[in-house]
Amino acid sequence: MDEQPDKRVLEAVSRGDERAFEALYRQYHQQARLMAWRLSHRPDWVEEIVHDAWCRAFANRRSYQPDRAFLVWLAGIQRIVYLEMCRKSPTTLGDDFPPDAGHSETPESIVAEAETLADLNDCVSRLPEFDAKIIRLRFFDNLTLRDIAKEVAIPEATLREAKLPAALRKIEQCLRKKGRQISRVLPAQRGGEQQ
Amino acid sequence: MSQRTDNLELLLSKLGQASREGVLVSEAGRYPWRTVEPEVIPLTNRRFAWVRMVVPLAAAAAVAVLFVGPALWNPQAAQDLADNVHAGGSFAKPERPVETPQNVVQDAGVNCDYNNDGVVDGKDIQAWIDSRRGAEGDWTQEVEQFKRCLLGQ
Repeated sequence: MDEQPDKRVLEAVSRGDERAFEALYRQYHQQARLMAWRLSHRPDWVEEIVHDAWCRAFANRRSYQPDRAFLVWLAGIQRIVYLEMCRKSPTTLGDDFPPDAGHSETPESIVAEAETLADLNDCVSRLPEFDAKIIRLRFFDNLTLRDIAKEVAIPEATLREAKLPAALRKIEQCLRKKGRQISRVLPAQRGGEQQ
Repeated sequence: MSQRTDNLELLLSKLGQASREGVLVSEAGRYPWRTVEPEVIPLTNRRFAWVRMVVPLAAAAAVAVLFVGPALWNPQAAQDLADNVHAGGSFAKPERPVETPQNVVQDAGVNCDYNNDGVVDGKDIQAWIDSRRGAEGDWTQEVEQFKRCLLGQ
């Protein structure tokens, strides 16, 4: 799990300490972006939601209660910003837009997934170079196993049976060290994203 | 693959989508709540801003003392100096003799004798600074003028 900030930092934020707030911003900037993305399903809105939410959080930092998780508090602010944006531009919402986006999900659930994704990103970045490459080609660039095998110059069967599972196991181990149990992170939601 | 790996793959696919859509950034960047930061001159700089003005003055005073000083104590030296001014590549007597400090006070049309001792010299620097301390505005012109007084130009 992502390292939780020192309680003293959170208390300092609630007293209005700007330096403490800056420390939280540096620690959580990635999670905040993932939360906004997860909340809005609109990559083009992420920047604005994140920016406005951080500004409002900073302006209202004295109202933050340190016994509450900071990201959950921030997610609540993001949701307000997001709903305001929806009200301002209802025509931009397409048919594929989740009709209850921002309403049905709690800040806690949004934070949980964003933190998991941030941890996962960290684990991928810590992989050995070869493993990171095949993971990125497979999941970030959406290449087929055949294309990846060609790219890294190994037999496709070796990639499928040995290299890719080994890389995934390393990620699992890394996540376990962070206190994340993958099988419980998400309910089974098989999408059409797999090859 | 196992259910656990399936979930991991699902999460990796989401992460990949986030990456493709530009959501992941490595650097935190500047703080959003801060607007463009104004250029603030630190207090220490402001407090010692007068030093930037005094240094050229002191340099000018040193040059003045070097050239004018001997004339004050030894009129013959002043004459020698005037006779040996290097002008146009040859040593020739200048058309005008080197002015004495007393002349400078009158010729410049500006009273540079800030300490009122009848002579414009390095001793006027401190008096000049004292008279300008706390004053606002651009001193460049005044500094130039005072420098010219000290150099006897």
